[in-house]
Amino acid sequence: MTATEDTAAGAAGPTTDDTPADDTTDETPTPEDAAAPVDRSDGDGPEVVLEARHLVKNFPIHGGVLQRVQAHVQAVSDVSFQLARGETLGLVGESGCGKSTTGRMLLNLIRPSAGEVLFEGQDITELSAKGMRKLRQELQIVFQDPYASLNPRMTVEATLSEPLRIHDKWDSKTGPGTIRDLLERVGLADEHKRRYPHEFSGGQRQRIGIARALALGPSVIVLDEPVSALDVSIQAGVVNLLTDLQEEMNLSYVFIAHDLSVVRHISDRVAVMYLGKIVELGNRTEVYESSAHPYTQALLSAVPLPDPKRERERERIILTGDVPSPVDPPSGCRFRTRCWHKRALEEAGVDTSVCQEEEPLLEIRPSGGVDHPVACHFAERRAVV
Amino acid sequence: MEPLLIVEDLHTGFHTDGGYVQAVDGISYEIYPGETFAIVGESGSGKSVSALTIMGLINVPPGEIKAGRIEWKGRDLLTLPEDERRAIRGKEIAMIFQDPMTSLNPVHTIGRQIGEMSRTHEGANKRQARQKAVELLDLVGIPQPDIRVDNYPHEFSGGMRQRAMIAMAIACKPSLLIADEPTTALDVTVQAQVLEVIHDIRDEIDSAVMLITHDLGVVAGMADRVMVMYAGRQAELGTADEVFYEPRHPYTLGLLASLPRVDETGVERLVPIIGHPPSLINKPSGCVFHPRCPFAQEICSSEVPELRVVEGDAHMSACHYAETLRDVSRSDLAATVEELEELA
Repeated sequence: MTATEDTAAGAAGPTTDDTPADDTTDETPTPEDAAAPVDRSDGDGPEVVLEARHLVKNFPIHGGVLQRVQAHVQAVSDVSFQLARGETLGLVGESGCGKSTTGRMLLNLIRPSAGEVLFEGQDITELSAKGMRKLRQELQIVFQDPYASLNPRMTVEATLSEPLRIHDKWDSKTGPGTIRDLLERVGLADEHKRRYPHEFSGGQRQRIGIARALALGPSVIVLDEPVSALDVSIQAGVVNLLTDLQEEMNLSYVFIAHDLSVVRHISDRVAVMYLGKIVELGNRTEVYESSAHPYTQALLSAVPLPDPKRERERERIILTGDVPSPVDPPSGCRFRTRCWHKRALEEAGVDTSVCQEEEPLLEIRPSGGVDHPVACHFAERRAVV
Repeated sequence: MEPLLIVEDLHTGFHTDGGYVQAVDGISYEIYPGETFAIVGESGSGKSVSALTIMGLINVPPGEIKAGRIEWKGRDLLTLPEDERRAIRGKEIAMIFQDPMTSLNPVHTIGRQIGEMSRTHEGANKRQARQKAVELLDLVGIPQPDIRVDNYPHEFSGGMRQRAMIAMAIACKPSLLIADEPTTALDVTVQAQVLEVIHDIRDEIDSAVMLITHDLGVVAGMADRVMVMYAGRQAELGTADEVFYEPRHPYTLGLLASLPRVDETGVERLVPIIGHPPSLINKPSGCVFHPRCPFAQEICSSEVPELRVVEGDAHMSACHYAETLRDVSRSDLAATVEELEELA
């Protein structure tokens, strides 16, 4: 599997290339680099703040009497993308596709098994704990569950001032003003600062989590399912808040979610993941209006629309079976076991053995009329929503 | 057509340390044979409690069914002795729950759990029950049902477990299938599979479905009629088309405007519903929605609006100003909400 190759590539990476962040697109550090990130900019190229290169994460499975490592879960297998300043990249996929693990690797909360994460050109996976702490001012995360991610014994004030204290940025004179500004930014009032998390509703708690992430003035925030735990009427307010903050502070977001509607609304570009790999990557119009991977198409067609008439007319692509185990993913294309497109081709007499034999690279496929990267041998544009 | 189920002025509450929680606060509706009736609402709206009350699954105490009538095929369920109720539960009215992992017994095989239905209600013997279970698993689309029937729940994936739950629920061909957030725990591609199963099953066994969900997309695809609940009360009731295209309650209007859509690029700002859901212990006076309503007037805080027909034969709304909503567009709502947000 690619994991071993990638380990080699990852280990060689830091010593062989120390390219500056702004011209990384044409890099070819490994032969299989066709799956490298594609610069979606038009010409002059926006500034890349964060880049994932060939990220791999294997989690060991222990078993037996001696609790020896028996196998590995390949949670993320060779994921690469770039994030520009001020941009939102949506990372979508179903449970177990590796989107959250990827998000955590971007912050070095999980160390990658192989690959690099470059923040402004610097590989953060090599950093010591101390070096990483410095970078935490720039890279922040907001978690899904606003109930579990706030300390119930800390007042809002203590929660928000903690990052400032840790980074020696707390000044007892200006501190209270900073807290007030933070609360105001996320739509809460100064008097809320003396309260404890249990005194807030879910939406308000998520706002506190966002304020905490903003405290140190980061440039990148990883948002891991930030609105999935919230009721729809509350969700809209938090989504609007995130959009406003991005505009005001020129933030870059990696927005991880399983809800394709929210992702379409908030993202500039979207990466669709399946079983640890990006299968399609493009701007939101490309991914939502002319998707080319059969998985993306099935995913989009499965999303119910709040529109009874359209729902009655809609033809769904219903996938059969379940996602295979990431311990032993299918050879070649990982989606082939559930692929409706492959089956349709076979019925039409097309030889699809390549799906089983060869892993499809994430690349532009002019033959199917696809102008954004897609990892399918038989990619074909199709409007499904 | 005679309704299967008539719920009349139902009040279900819970005594807690914090006070009396009015979870369901005077709701009335009917369900007709063969229809899909959706109950939509956010957390705490009372949608699940109303279903549990019908099933007789409310623990008393701390629960209390304070008032109301639930008439099932002409019999009042609330006054029926427990053994007669048990005969109806599972046989005539069956229920599937959100989390199939916690609603299946981990120490018994799938086949035994499905077969238990026909053994209990139809007096089938062991062999017949197993055979029935295989047929049912096949019906809900489980591959190799004759092998899968001997599996334990942990050997099934989430989507398959939910199918097994559906198989169990339809074992006795119930006239009403209550599905409480049946796909909320599932991924979207699996959700599509399970919804299709529920849809096909309804036609197959000619049962009515009561679908409880917070997801308006799921409702749009499945429901014939829709009831919108807020804080234990009914906000709106009508056909799916009426509720989605001609909403006559500000809460429904707000819900629809707050949703991002997968078939539209987000150029328009989402319109949130300001504030947050009320406490069910100290409900706001008058209309429970008035503190969050962009159109609230004085009367809204003093008088509880009745659920009344506001258009056509049976499109009902519990809003004093339901008729004026006819002329409110999404952009009107957005502008009003923005103004109110700035004021706050």
